[in-house]
Amino acid sequence: MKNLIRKIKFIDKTFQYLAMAATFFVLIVLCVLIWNIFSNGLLRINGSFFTNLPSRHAERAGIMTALAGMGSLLVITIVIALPIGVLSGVYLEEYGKKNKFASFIEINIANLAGVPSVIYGILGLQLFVRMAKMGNSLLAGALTLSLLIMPIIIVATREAIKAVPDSLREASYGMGATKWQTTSRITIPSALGGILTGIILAVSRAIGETAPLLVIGALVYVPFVPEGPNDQFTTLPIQIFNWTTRPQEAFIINAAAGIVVLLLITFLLNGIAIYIRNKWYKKMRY
Amino acid sequence: MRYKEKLIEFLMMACSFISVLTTLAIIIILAVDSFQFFEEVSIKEFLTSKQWTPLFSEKHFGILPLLMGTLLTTTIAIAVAVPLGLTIAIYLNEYASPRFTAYVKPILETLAAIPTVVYGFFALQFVTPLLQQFIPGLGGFNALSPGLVMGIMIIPYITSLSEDALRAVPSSLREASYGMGATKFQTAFRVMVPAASSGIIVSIILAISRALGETMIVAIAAGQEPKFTFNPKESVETITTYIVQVSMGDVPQDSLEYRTIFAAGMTLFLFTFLLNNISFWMRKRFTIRYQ
Amino acid sequence: MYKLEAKNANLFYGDKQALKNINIGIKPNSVTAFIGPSGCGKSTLLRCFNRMNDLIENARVEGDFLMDEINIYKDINTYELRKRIGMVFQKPNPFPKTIFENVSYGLRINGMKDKKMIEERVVESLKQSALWNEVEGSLHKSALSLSGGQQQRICIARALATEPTVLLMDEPASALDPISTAKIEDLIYTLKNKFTIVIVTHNMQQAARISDKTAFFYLGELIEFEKTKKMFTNPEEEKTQNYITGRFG
Repeated sequence: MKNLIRKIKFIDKTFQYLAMAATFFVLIVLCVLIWNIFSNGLLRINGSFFTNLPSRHAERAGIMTALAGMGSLLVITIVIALPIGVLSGVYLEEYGKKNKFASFIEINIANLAGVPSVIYGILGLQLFVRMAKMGNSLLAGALTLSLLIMPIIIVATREAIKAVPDSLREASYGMGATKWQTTSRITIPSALGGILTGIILAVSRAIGETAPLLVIGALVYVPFVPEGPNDQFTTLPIQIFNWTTRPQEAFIINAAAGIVVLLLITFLLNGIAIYIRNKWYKKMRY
Repeated sequence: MRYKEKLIEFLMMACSFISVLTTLAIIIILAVDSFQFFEEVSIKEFLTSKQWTPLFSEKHFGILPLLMGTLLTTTIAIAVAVPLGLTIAIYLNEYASPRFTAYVKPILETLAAIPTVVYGFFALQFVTPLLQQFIPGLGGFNALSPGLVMGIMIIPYITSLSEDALRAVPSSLREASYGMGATKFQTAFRVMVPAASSGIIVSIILAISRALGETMIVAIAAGQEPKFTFNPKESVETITTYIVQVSMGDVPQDSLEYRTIFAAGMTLFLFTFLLNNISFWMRKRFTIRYQ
Repeated sequence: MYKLEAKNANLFYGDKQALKNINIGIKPNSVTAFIGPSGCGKSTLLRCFNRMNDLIENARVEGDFLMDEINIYKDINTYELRKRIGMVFQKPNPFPKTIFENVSYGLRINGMKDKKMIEERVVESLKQSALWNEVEGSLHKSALSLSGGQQQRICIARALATEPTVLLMDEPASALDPISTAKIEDLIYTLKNKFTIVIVTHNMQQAARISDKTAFFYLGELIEFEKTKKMFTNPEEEKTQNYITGRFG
């Protein structure tokens, strides 16, 4: 009996230490990843790295066109995906909650959220680049990314709308407000913090996407800044991908430097999202 | 006023209908070109040939090498992510102090926020050289390194969903187990994990689906050689990598080579579609149970 | 003539009947209390008068509900009706907006644009709800920064702003402390001069203190409707007697 208890306790303690080790192992991997990239890339970053065009000479190459392309791509993507995504989310949560159409769409969105991004690339390639004859333009890229991040925005909007207490809706209806007045003046503003968090996370996701853009034919070498939605483009992740696959050491360092910039943007966006979410949660607690 | 209300509602409904159209478009586009592909290549060859060489002069169209590559990297990733992810979830939920959990969870979630191209770089430039010091004969491109890194990447998917499932178990169950003198380990594995099992399975299925569809890590670090092998030391090509490879090249449109990406894409889509639906169905069921 | 009236009213939630053949008439400029054990239908009946039950998926109403002899369910549209009948809820539910925006909400959704007129109405409503002195300098602060009792009075001011003639109150003080409750009760007493007030309460002392007439409900039926004084001293029905003496409920 005593032996058994000792054995049980031993297993308990062993698991505890193993589990702690596992947790720290993953945290350490994360640290190593960040240290590895920053130690390789940080010193490469200087003013001209941001303002130079891509080049065959690693030390003269910069990320200006990649950043400009990424910026324009994101702006167009947000303009397309944001209203459609938010309105869909509001509709599903506020209007069509119980009908069959809504539950059908719910399965649909859950599925779309799980479709690999490279498949969205094929969709964009066929639908926008070829059938709509947009070519490998910014617009085609933005439309593809819009479809990709739409499920994220819809799900986030629904969660945020769901968190708005019913008592607020009742108060508004009780004053004689219509459904849309209640939705647009009370429900959506009250859910704004949560919706915004979701949108920022979706944008952060769009920033990191590489595969679908490669598939629709975004170029790896673009020596100019896009000026309109019909121009060809490249983005930072694509530029990084291109540098990573070069054999020369100098380009690898460029890639690391590009990653430093990409990671800083990603972490910044995620930080803002977490900050807004926490503030909003506090406000929503009655 | 009533007219305006109806108009807005209709507009919103139309917006949510776009998601249905997207799904339809994906299926139709994949199906149409796959169909044309299978007019020239027999399904038997596609499913049984052990060679995939559409871009060579002597063409073979067997999906098996790509499928093997995909399954190999996914298996490695899952072998890393499931034990680590689950252990961390149990540790955070049953052992660690709430303060520790509050600090660690957001850090773990950043793993999911890092763009995949970054993981690809990490696998190729850091993990592969590191592994080569311990594993003789490991190629510069191999399945092992991107598999491992992918495993790290999907840990947060497993941890956060499993943790939600564990947290949804009423704590009265945990207290009952403690009350009978059980240790934390016994409570975790005999009471909590079984009670949260459907949620945990959902997290694993979603992680598998995520790994199957992952592109950039394998495209960068696994190589682009379709091989019928399950040897993690060798370079492999996954379905996703092949799609990127072809679309980056100069393959003429409306050629058989071009259509291969649709057949390959269809194969990948079917796998993930199946997994997503299973997990959706399971999740629906277990949330109902706890409400 | 009655301000509010229900004739042969029945209400069903799916198959379950929540109100059984209710007949009641409420006189203008009076305070009427609805009492009874929980689930007796008192809140349900209250919500019939401004059609809030319409928001519940499977609720079905039969019979006639009248306000100023107008049929509420037939001759007036829901939004117009709710503007004329203000409602105050159990838990204070100010919008997460400023005090000013809360009180002016009803005016804005009615399309009132004139800033000066809106401001006048807001000030008047805040005065009517005895809150003006407390919030005069902080109209543009969040309504959520106020105390629970003040929040509830903001909700009353918000309901008064559209100049209704009826005020429905669904246990308006049940979430408040005794001092805030006393303020709300005083307020109800003064508002009686301008409004017809119907209040649902589970607190019998409260009903006795503030109401002119009291209606006792039990299992969806109106058991007794009498002058409050008579009801609490000498009720007709045995069930009423049992309830107010605390034998059940």
